[in-house]
Amino acid sequence: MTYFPYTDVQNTEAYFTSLGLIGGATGMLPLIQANPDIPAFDDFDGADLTITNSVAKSTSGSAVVAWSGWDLSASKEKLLMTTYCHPSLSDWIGIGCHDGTLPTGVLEDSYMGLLYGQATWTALAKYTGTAWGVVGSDATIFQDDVATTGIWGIAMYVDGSSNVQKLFVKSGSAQWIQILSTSDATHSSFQSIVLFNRGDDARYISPIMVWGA
Amino acid sequence: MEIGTFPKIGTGESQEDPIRPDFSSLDGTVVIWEQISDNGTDITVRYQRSFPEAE
Repeated sequence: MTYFPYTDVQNTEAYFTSLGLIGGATGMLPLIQANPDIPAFDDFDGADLTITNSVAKSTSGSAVVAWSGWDLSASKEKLLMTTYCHPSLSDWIGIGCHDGTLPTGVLEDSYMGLLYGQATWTALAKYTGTAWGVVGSDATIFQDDVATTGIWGIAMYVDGSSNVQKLFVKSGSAQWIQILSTSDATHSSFQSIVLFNRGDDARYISPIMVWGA
Repeated sequence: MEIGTFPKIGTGESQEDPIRPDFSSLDGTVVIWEQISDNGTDITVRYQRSFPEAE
């Protein structure tokens, strides 16, 4: 008997390539490869994330609306953003993209993929100006009672030219799975990446990867 | 999944009160929903409901 080990089961790049979101003719190129070490952030607001090699942990042990991020070298219409995280007591934690370069204060126009423990959702959300809205949610997978017990992968794909947003999660040793797919037309291009959280000892863990075109 | 159009609720001033569809006219609880379109006042979504078991 011959066995064919399914080596792709844990491989993020192979999974998203198999969906046709990166690789091949997509034009999507690696923009950020935080693996194993996480590079210094370009800016933050609310509470910084302290980087220790492969972990970026909130400096706040209490609730505070916070982001840390990186500017991209050029505006992109399509992005795939992946990270691992430990929500801890943070009411929400995730990754997203901002229309412009990183703001000097609170976030504005942007899309976010979130574990939204406060509402027991996974969610696709957005800022329109400074107004916060949700464009899709799923209350059947991530619940607040698992926020402190495991490491979760969260990934978001956006295509501003065709108004597509997709949210993926990964738990334990399972493969990535798609949770939500929405068709919001608010934002069309992006110049920076943000790790959005609510403090409370939230952690991001590498690899943190971004592809774009 | 069902498809429907719902008015917006929420101030959008904080993560505790996001702008979102108002599902209060539906029976059951909406557990999954995805925006299809937004005309400024109403949001059209795909959604899935759950219903409590009959006693």
